[in-house]
Amino acid sequence: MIIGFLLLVAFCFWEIYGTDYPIFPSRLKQEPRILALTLLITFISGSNFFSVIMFWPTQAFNVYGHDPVGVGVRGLPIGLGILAGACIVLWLLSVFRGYNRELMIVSSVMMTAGKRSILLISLITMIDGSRLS
Amino acid sequence: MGHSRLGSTWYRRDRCPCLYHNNYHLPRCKALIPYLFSRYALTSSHRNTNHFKPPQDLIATVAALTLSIRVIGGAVGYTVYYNVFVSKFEENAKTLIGGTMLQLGIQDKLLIGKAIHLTSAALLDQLPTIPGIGNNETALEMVTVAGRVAYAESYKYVYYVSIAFGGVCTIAACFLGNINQYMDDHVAVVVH
Repeated sequence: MIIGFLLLVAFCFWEIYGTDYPIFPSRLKQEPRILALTLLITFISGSNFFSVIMFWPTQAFNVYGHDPVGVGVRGLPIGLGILAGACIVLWLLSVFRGYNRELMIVSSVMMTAGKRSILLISLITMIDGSRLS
Repeated sequence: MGHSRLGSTWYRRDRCPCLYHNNYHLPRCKALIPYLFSRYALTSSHRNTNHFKPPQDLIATVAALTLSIRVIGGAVGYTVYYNVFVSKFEENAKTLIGGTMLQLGIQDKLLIGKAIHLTSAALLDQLPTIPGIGNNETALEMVTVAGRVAYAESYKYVYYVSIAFGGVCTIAACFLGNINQYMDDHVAVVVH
């Protein structure tokens, strides 16, 4: 991971000083605040997205039973939620022109709330540990 | 109206802010959606100030950039969360599964280690091969439930960390600017 981080830093220097045709041209930086914030939000959303995708199936399997049909059913909300969320928010972006900040805030809040819900489920499972079987 | 003399249709703002009208239908729609148009009225004066033309040829670059940033975020985030999870699970497995097996009277560290290994690999149907548990239904159930509770307690910390990340994300989202000036149905490339 340290090597990866150093390579990322080296990549930044290479883009700025090393080449004529950078992958990330500076022409993109015309609204630097929006670009930087959007990339930051994408970064954090990516981390939450990958962690949910990787952790929820093993959690559904290990904590809530090995029944294949049950595990599949427990994985449905994640996929359907991502699909529906993407379609609905993109539609809303066209309807509410100019309110992209509010849409992004609502989406981030829902993401955090979703995480809290999963956390609550984990806590309740922990407390009722004896009733799991 | 903000019609630029440069000949580009980029700067044309003679359109209604609602979705369905391409002509200047402001008065008719104003009656229907007053809040939307109060904002339009307040901001229309400074909205026609594109001093630069955003690059049209870099659409694919930007799409790929957001995808790659998402994957990098996924890699970094997953590493962090996984390390949190594994460190907590090691402790909880020893306490809960080890504790349960001590209750059952199994003192051998190798057997406890084997039970923890089977639980972490989700091979619960091999638990009866451990001598102390064997075919004893109650013992099997106790160890299984202990494993599940150990998992649940460890996942809890993963979600705490991710809530912290989500909070940072929400705060960052509050400072985003307005991109309405760029959303004018302009087609950059016709792909047929």
